[in-house]
Amino acid sequence: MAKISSKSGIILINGYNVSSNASQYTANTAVPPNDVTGFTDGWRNNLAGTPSSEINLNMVWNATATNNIIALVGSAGNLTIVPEGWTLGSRSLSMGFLHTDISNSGDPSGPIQIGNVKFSNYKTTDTNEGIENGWILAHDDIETTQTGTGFVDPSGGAVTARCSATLHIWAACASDTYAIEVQHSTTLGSGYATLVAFTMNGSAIGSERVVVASGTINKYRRVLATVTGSAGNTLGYSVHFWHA
Amino acid sequence: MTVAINLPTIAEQISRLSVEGVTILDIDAITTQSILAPYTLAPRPDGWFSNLSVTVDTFGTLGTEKLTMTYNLTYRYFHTALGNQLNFASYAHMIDNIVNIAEVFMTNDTVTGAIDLRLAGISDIGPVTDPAGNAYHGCDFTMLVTEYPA
Repeated sequence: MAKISSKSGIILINGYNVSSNASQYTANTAVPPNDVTGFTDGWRNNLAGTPSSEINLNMVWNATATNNIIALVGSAGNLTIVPEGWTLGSRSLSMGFLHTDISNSGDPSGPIQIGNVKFSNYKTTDTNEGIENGWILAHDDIETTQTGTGFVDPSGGAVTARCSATLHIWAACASDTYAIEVQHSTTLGSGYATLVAFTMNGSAIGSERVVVASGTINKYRRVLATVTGSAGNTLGYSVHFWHA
Repeated sequence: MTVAINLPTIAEQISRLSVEGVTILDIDAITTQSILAPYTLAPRPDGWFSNLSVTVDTFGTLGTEKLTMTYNLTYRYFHTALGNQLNFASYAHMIDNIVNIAEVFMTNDTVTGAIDLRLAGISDIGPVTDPAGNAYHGCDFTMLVTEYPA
Protein backbone atom coordinates (compact mmCIF):
# COMPACT_ATOMS: atom_id res chain seq x y z
CA MET A 1 0.00 0.00 0.00
CA ALA A 2 1.25 3.42 -0.88
CA LYS A 3 1.68 6.07 1.74
CA ILE A 4 -0.63 9.07 1.50
CA SER A 5 0.60 12.56 2.20
CA SER A 6 -1.29 14.44 4.86
CA LYS A 7 -0.41 17.84 3.41
CA SER A 8 -3.82 18.31 1.75
CA GLY A 9 -5.65 17.71 5.02
CA ILE A 10 -8.67 19.91 5.76
CA ILE A 11 -9.48 20.98 9.31
CA LEU A 12 -12.79 22.66 10.05
CA ILE A 13 -13.78 23.98 13.46
CA ASN A 14 -17.27 25.39 13.89
CA GLY A 15 -17.21 26.49 10.27
CA TYR A 16 -13.73 28.01 10.32
CA ASN A 17 -11.30 26.41 7.91
CA VAL A 18 -8.05 26.49 9.84
CA SER A 19 -6.14 24.08 7.58
CA SER A 20 -3.45 26.57 6.64
CA ASN A 21 -2.90 27.49 10.28
CA ALA A 22 -2.81 23.98 11.71
CA SER A 23 0.50 22.18 11.95
CA GLN A 24 -0.53 18.88 13.50
CA TYR A 25 -3.54 16.92 14.68
CA THR A 26 -4.13 13.78 16.69
CA ALA A 27 -7.51 12.11 17.14
CA ASN A 28 -7.79 9.77 20.08
CA THR A 29 -10.56 7.49 21.27
CA ALA A 30 -9.93 5.67 24.50
CA VAL A 31 -11.75 3.01 26.46
CA PRO A 32 -10.16 3.02 29.90
CA PRO A 33 -10.17 -0.30 31.76
CA ASN A 34 -12.01 -0.49 35.06
CA ASP A 35 -10.21 -2.78 37.47
CA VAL A 36 -12.61 -5.32 39.01
CA THR A 37 -9.97 -7.80 40.15
CA GLY A 38 -11.06 -9.97 43.07
CA PHE A 39 -8.79 -11.46 45.71
CA THR A 40 -9.14 -14.97 44.26
CA ASP A 41 -8.95 -14.06 40.55
CA GLY A 42 -5.25 -14.81 40.20
CA TRP A 43 -4.96 -12.38 37.31
CA ARG A 44 -5.82 -8.72 36.81
CA ASN A 45 -9.46 -8.49 35.78
CA ASN A 46 -10.86 -5.46 33.92
CA LEU A 47 -14.13 -4.34 32.42
CA ALA A 48 -14.25 -1.83 29.59
CA GLY A 49 -14.93 1.66 30.86
CA THR A 50 -16.81 4.53 29.28
CA PRO A 51 -15.32 5.63 25.94
CA SER A 52 -14.04 9.14 25.54
CA SER A 53 -12.59 10.98 22.57
CA GLU A 54 -10.41 13.97 22.09
CA ILE A 55 -8.77 15.70 19.17
CA ASN A 56 -5.61 17.73 19.69
CA LEU A 57 -4.42 20.42 17.30
CA ASN A 58 -1.28 22.47 17.11
CA MET A 59 -1.65 25.72 15.22
CA VAL A 60 0.40 28.75 14.36
CA TRP A 61 -0.90 32.06 15.63
CA ASN A 62 -2.84 34.12 13.12
CA ALA A 63 -4.70 37.03 14.62
CA THR A 64 -7.30 36.93 11.86
CA ALA A 65 -7.85 33.22 11.46
CA THR A 66 -7.31 31.79 14.90
CA ASN A 67 -8.88 34.39 17.18
CA ASN A 68 -12.16 32.62 16.52
CA ILE A 69 -10.63 29.38 17.74
CA ILE A 70 -9.19 30.99 20.84
CA ALA A 71 -12.70 32.21 21.59
CA LEU A 72 -13.85 28.59 21.79
CA VAL A 73 -12.20 27.99 25.17
CA GLY A 74 -14.64 26.11 27.32
CA SER A 75 -17.33 25.97 24.65
CA ALA A 76 -18.92 23.27 22.50
CA GLY A 77 -19.05 22.81 18.74
CA ASN A 78 -18.06 20.57 15.84
CA LEU A 79 -14.63 19.66 14.50
CA THR A 80 -14.12 17.82 11.23
CA ILE A 81 -10.85 16.60 9.75
CA VAL A 82 -10.49 15.35 6.18
CA PRO A 83 -7.06 13.69 6.33
CA GLU A 84 -6.57 13.12 2.59
CA GLY A 85 -8.12 16.37 1.37
CA TRP A 86 -11.24 16.81 -0.69
CA THR A 87 -12.47 14.08 -3.00
CA LEU A 88 -16.03 12.79 -2.87
CA GLY A 89 -16.28 10.06 -0.26
CA SER A 90 -12.83 10.62 1.18
CA ARG A 91 -12.61 9.56 4.81
CA SER A 92 -13.40 12.21 7.37
CA LEU A 93 -13.12 12.30 11.14
CA SER A 94 -15.69 14.40 12.90
CA MET A 95 -16.50 15.00 16.50
CA GLY A 96 -18.99 17.09 18.36
CA PHE A 97 -16.81 18.54 21.09
CA LEU A 98 -18.03 19.61 24.47
CA HIS A 99 -15.04 21.51 25.74
CA THR A 100 -11.92 23.21 24.43
CA ASP A 101 -8.62 23.80 26.18
CA ILE A 102 -5.95 26.02 24.66
CA SER A 103 -2.35 26.71 25.62
CA ASN A 104 -0.51 29.44 23.76
CA SER A 105 3.25 29.48 23.48
CA GLY A 106 6.04 31.48 21.90
CA ASP A 107 9.74 31.09 21.22
CA PRO A 108 12.01 33.80 19.74
CA SER A 109 13.37 31.36 17.19
CA GLY A 110 10.00 30.47 15.69
CA PRO A 111 6.42 31.53 15.03
CA ILE A 112 3.89 32.07 17.80
CA GLN A 113 2.06 28.82 18.45
CA ILE A 114 -1.39 27.96 19.65
CA GLY A 115 -0.19 24.64 20.88
CA ASN A 116 -2.14 21.68 22.12
CA VAL A 117 -5.67 22.86 21.48
CA LYS A 118 -7.64 20.04 23.03
CA PHE A 119 -11.21 19.32 21.96
CA SER A 120 -12.86 16.84 24.29
CA ASN A 121 -15.91 14.61 24.03
CA TYR A 122 -16.69 12.82 27.24
CA LYS A 123 -20.42 12.83 27.83
CA THR A 124 -22.54 9.73 27.30
CA THR A 125 -25.77 10.46 25.48
CA ASP A 126 -27.76 8.69 22.81
CA THR A 127 -26.49 11.09 20.19
CA ASN A 128 -22.88 11.27 21.27
CA GLU A 129 -20.67 9.10 19.08
CA GLY A 130 -17.22 10.42 19.93
CA ILE A 131 -15.06 10.59 16.81
CA GLU A 132 -17.20 9.60 13.82
CA ASN A 133 -15.17 7.82 11.14
CA GLY A 134 -17.26 8.87 8.14
CA TRP A 135 -17.03 10.37 4.67
CA ILE A 136 -16.87 13.85 3.22
CA LEU A 137 -19.76 14.44 0.79
CA ALA A 138 -19.19 18.11 -0.05
CA HIS A 139 -16.40 20.67 0.23
CA ASP A 140 -16.86 23.50 -2.21
CA ASP A 141 -17.62 27.16 -2.76
CA ILE A 142 -20.67 27.71 -4.92
CA GLU A 143 -22.77 30.58 -6.21
CA THR A 144 -25.92 28.70 -7.18
CA THR A 145 -27.76 25.46 -6.51
CA GLN A 146 -25.42 22.47 -6.37
CA THR A 147 -26.53 18.87 -6.73
CA GLY A 148 -23.80 16.55 -5.55
CA THR A 149 -22.81 13.24 -7.09
CA GLY A 150 -24.05 10.13 -5.34
CA PHE A 151 -21.50 8.38 -3.16
CA VAL A 152 -22.00 4.66 -2.74
CA ASP A 153 -21.77 3.15 0.72
CA PRO A 154 -18.44 1.29 1.08
CA SER A 155 -20.43 -1.85 1.96
CA GLY A 156 -21.89 -1.74 -1.55
CA GLY A 157 -25.48 -1.68 -0.37
CA ALA A 158 -28.02 -0.09 1.92
CA VAL A 159 -27.57 -0.20 5.66
CA THR A 160 -29.91 0.01 8.60
CA ALA A 161 -28.25 2.16 11.21
CA ARG A 162 -28.37 5.52 12.95
CA CYS A 163 -26.49 8.24 11.16
CA SER A 164 -25.40 11.83 11.49
CA ALA A 165 -24.24 14.62 9.24
CA THR A 166 -22.19 17.68 10.10
CA LEU A 167 -22.36 20.90 8.09
CA HIS A 168 -19.67 23.57 8.18
CA ILE A 169 -20.34 26.97 6.61
CA TRP A 170 -16.92 28.59 6.13
CA ALA A 171 -17.93 31.30 3.66
CA ALA A 172 -21.31 32.89 4.37
CA CYS A 173 -23.65 34.62 1.91
CA ALA A 174 -24.55 38.27 2.23
CA SER A 175 -28.13 37.94 0.96
CA ASP A 176 -28.72 34.59 -0.75
CA THR A 177 -29.72 31.66 1.43
CA TYR A 178 -29.36 27.94 0.93
CA ALA A 179 -31.35 24.88 1.98
CA ILE A 180 -28.75 22.16 2.50
CA GLU A 181 -29.57 18.49 2.96
CA VAL A 182 -28.10 15.02 2.64
CA GLN A 183 -30.17 12.79 0.39
CA HIS A 184 -30.17 9.05 -0.26
CA SER A 185 -31.38 6.81 -3.05
CA THR A 186 -31.37 3.24 -4.22
CA THR A 187 -30.05 4.28 -7.64
CA LEU A 188 -27.20 6.59 -8.53
CA GLY A 189 -28.92 8.94 -10.93
CA SER A 190 -32.41 9.49 -9.53
CA GLY A 191 -34.92 8.91 -6.78
CA TYR A 192 -33.16 10.85 -4.05
CA ALA A 193 -35.07 11.66 -0.86
CA THR A 194 -34.10 13.74 2.14
CA LEU A 195 -32.14 11.88 4.80
CA VAL A 196 -30.74 14.78 6.83
CA ALA A 197 -31.89 18.39 6.62
CA PHE A 198 -29.89 21.21 8.14
CA THR A 199 -31.39 24.37 9.58
CA MET A 200 -28.34 26.56 8.90
CA ASN A 201 -29.00 28.45 5.68
CA GLY A 202 -25.59 29.79 4.73
CA SER A 203 -26.12 33.29 6.08
CA ALA A 204 -23.51 32.92 8.84
CA ILE A 205 -20.30 31.03 9.50
CA GLY A 206 -20.87 28.09 11.80
CA SER A 207 -21.51 24.39 12.03
CA GLU A 208 -24.43 22.10 12.69
CA ARG A 209 -24.62 18.40 13.47
CA VAL A 210 -27.86 16.50 12.90
CA VAL A 211 -28.40 12.98 14.18
CA VAL A 212 -30.99 10.63 12.67
CA ALA A 213 -32.34 7.63 14.57
CA SER A 214 -31.66 4.18 13.21
CA GLY A 215 -33.42 3.40 9.94
CA THR A 216 -32.75 2.44 6.35
CA ILE A 217 -29.99 4.41 4.66
CA ASN A 218 -30.08 3.73 0.96
CA LYS A 219 -26.98 2.80 -0.99
CA TYR A 220 -26.25 6.21 -2.54
CA ARG A 221 -25.88 9.50 -0.66
CA ARG A 222 -25.40 13.00 -1.99
CA VAL A 223 -25.65 16.63 -0.89
CA LEU A 224 -28.16 19.05 -2.35
CA ALA A 225 -27.70 22.78 -1.71
CA THR A 226 -30.61 24.77 -3.10
CA VAL A 227 -30.23 28.52 -3.41
CA THR A 228 -32.88 31.12 -2.72
CA GLY A 229 -32.00 34.52 -4.14
CA SER A 230 -30.10 35.68 -7.18
CA ALA A 231 -27.28 37.80 -5.78
CA GLY A 232 -24.71 35.17 -6.70
CA ASN A 233 -23.10 35.28 -3.25
CA THR A 234 -20.42 32.68 -2.64
CA LEU A 235 -21.29 29.92 -0.19
CA GLY A 236 -18.35 27.90 1.15
CA TYR A 237 -19.49 24.72 2.84
CA SER A 238 -18.51 21.19 3.77
CA VAL A 239 -20.62 18.19 4.73
CA HIS A 240 -19.44 15.16 6.66
CA PHE A 241 -21.64 12.05 6.83
CA TRP A 242 -21.41 9.04 9.12
CA HIS A 243 -23.44 5.99 10.00
CA ALA A 244 -22.96 3.44 12.76
CA MET B 1 -1.72 32.29 -2.34
CA THR B 2 1.77 32.33 -3.75
CA VAL B 3 5.21 31.77 -2.32
CA ALA B 4 7.41 34.88 -2.23
CA ILE B 5 11.17 34.76 -1.63
CA ASN B 6 12.79 38.07 -0.73
CA LEU B 7 16.45 37.27 -1.28
CA PRO B 8 17.25 40.25 -3.60
CA THR B 9 15.36 42.63 -1.28
CA ILE B 10 17.29 41.40 1.74
CA ALA B 11 20.60 41.79 -0.08
CA GLU B 12 19.66 45.36 -0.95
CA GLN B 13 18.61 46.10 2.63
CA ILE B 14 21.89 44.74 3.97
CA SER B 15 23.80 46.99 1.55
CA ARG B 16 21.93 49.95 3.03
CA LEU B 17 23.05 49.24 6.59
CA SER B 18 25.35 51.91 7.87
CA VAL B 19 28.71 50.77 9.24
CA GLU B 20 31.12 53.52 10.16
CA GLY B 21 34.10 53.49 7.84
CA VAL B 22 32.92 50.53 5.77
CA THR B 23 31.18 50.33 2.38
CA ILE B 24 28.68 47.50 1.99
CA LEU B 25 27.98 46.32 -1.58
CA ASP B 26 24.72 44.97 -3.01
CA ILE B 27 24.74 41.86 -5.21
CA ASP B 28 24.60 44.01 -8.35
CA ALA B 29 27.74 45.88 -7.27
CA ILE B 30 30.13 42.94 -7.47
CA THR B 31 32.52 43.75 -10.30
CA THR B 32 35.65 42.32 -11.81
CA GLN B 33 37.57 45.50 -11.25
CA SER B 34 41.25 45.02 -10.69
CA ILE B 35 41.27 46.05 -7.08
CA LEU B 36 38.55 46.78 -4.56
CA ALA B 37 38.51 49.93 -2.55
CA PRO B 38 39.70 49.33 1.00
CA TYR B 39 37.24 48.75 3.81
CA THR B 40 34.65 47.05 1.60
CA LEU B 41 32.15 44.42 2.69
CA ALA B 42 30.78 42.53 -0.33
CA PRO B 43 28.66 39.44 -1.01
CA ARG B 44 31.04 36.53 -1.33
CA PRO B 45 30.74 35.50 -5.01
CA ASP B 46 31.42 31.83 -4.27
CA GLY B 47 29.05 30.61 -1.59
CA TRP B 48 27.17 33.82 -0.84
CA PHE B 49 23.87 31.84 -0.60
CA SER B 50 24.04 28.44 1.09
CA ASN B 51 22.46 25.93 3.46
CA LEU B 52 18.89 26.45 2.25
CA SER B 53 16.29 24.73 4.41
CA VAL B 54 12.51 24.84 3.90
CA THR B 55 10.14 23.60 6.60
CA VAL B 56 6.44 23.02 6.00
CA ASP B 57 4.59 24.41 9.03
CA THR B 58 0.92 23.77 8.29
CA PHE B 59 -1.46 21.79 6.13
CA GLY B 60 -2.20 23.02 2.62
CA THR B 61 -0.86 22.91 -0.94
CA LEU B 62 -0.17 25.29 -3.82
CA GLY B 63 1.06 28.04 -1.54
CA THR B 64 -1.76 27.89 1.01
CA GLU B 65 0.53 26.17 3.49
CA LYS B 66 2.74 28.13 5.86
CA LEU B 67 6.48 27.72 5.20
CA THR B 68 9.66 28.65 7.04
CA MET B 69 12.82 29.12 5.00
CA THR B 70 16.29 29.56 6.45
CA TYR B 71 19.61 30.06 4.68
CA ASN B 72 23.04 31.52 5.12
CA LEU B 73 24.40 34.63 3.40
CA THR B 74 28.15 35.11 3.51
CA TYR B 75 29.78 38.50 3.14
CA ARG B 76 33.52 39.04 2.75
CA TYR B 77 35.29 41.96 4.32
CA PHE B 78 38.20 43.37 2.31
CA HIS B 79 40.25 45.62 4.57
CA THR B 80 43.38 46.40 2.58
CA ALA B 81 45.17 44.67 -0.24
CA LEU B 82 47.68 42.07 0.85
CA GLY B 83 51.19 43.44 0.54
CA ASN B 84 50.20 46.81 1.84
CA GLN B 85 51.62 47.65 5.15
CA LEU B 86 49.65 46.09 7.99
CA ASN B 87 51.22 47.47 11.10
CA PHE B 88 49.74 47.44 14.54
CA ALA B 89 47.87 50.65 13.86
CA SER B 90 46.08 49.37 10.73
CA TYR B 91 45.54 45.95 12.29
CA ALA B 92 43.70 47.64 15.13
CA HIS B 93 41.71 49.59 12.53
CA MET B 94 40.72 46.33 10.83
CA ILE B 95 39.57 44.85 14.13
CA ASP B 96 37.58 48.01 14.83
CA ASN B 97 35.81 47.70 11.48
CA ILE B 98 35.10 44.01 12.00
CA VAL B 99 33.59 44.80 15.40
CA ASN B 100 31.54 47.62 13.87
CA ILE B 101 30.20 45.29 11.19
CA ALA B 102 29.33 42.62 13.77
CA GLU B 103 27.56 45.16 15.96
CA VAL B 104 25.47 46.48 13.07
CA PHE B 105 24.50 42.98 11.99
CA MET B 106 23.60 41.99 15.54
CA THR B 107 21.57 45.18 16.02
CA ASN B 108 19.62 45.02 12.76
CA ASP B 109 17.94 41.66 13.23
CA THR B 110 14.88 42.62 11.22
CA VAL B 111 15.54 43.98 7.74
CA THR B 112 12.81 44.38 5.14
CA GLY B 113 12.01 41.02 3.59
CA ALA B 114 13.41 38.90 6.41
CA ILE B 115 11.72 37.71 9.57
CA ASP B 116 15.07 37.37 11.29
CA LEU B 117 18.67 38.20 10.45
CA ARG B 118 21.36 36.85 12.76
CA LEU B 119 25.12 36.91 12.75
CA ALA B 120 25.99 33.22 12.58
CA GLY B 121 29.79 33.38 12.43
CA ILE B 122 33.01 35.22 11.61
CA SER B 123 35.80 33.30 9.90
CA ASP B 124 39.43 33.40 10.90
CA ILE B 125 40.93 36.79 10.17
CA GLY B 126 43.59 36.51 7.51
CA PRO B 127 44.20 36.57 3.76
CA VAL B 128 41.04 36.56 1.61
CA THR B 129 40.63 36.92 -2.16
CA ASP B 130 38.28 38.99 -4.30
CA PRO B 131 36.55 37.71 -7.48
CA ALA B 132 39.57 38.72 -9.55
CA GLY B 133 41.92 36.72 -7.34
CA ASN B 134 43.49 39.66 -5.58
CA ALA B 135 44.44 39.04 -1.97
CA TYR B 136 43.40 41.19 0.97
CA HIS B 137 43.46 41.20 4.70
CA GLY B 138 39.95 40.43 5.87
CA CYS B 139 37.45 37.80 6.92
CA ASP B 140 33.99 36.36 6.14
CA PHE B 141 30.75 37.17 7.96
CA THR B 142 28.05 34.50 7.78
CA MET B 143 24.45 35.53 8.38
CA LEU B 144 21.51 33.26 9.19
CA VAL B 145 18.35 34.53 7.47
CA THR B 146 14.80 33.39 8.27
CA GLU B 147 11.94 34.08 5.89
CA TYR B 148 8.26 33.12 5.97
CA PRO B 149 7.72 32.84 2.20
CA ALA B 150 4.09 31.68 2.60
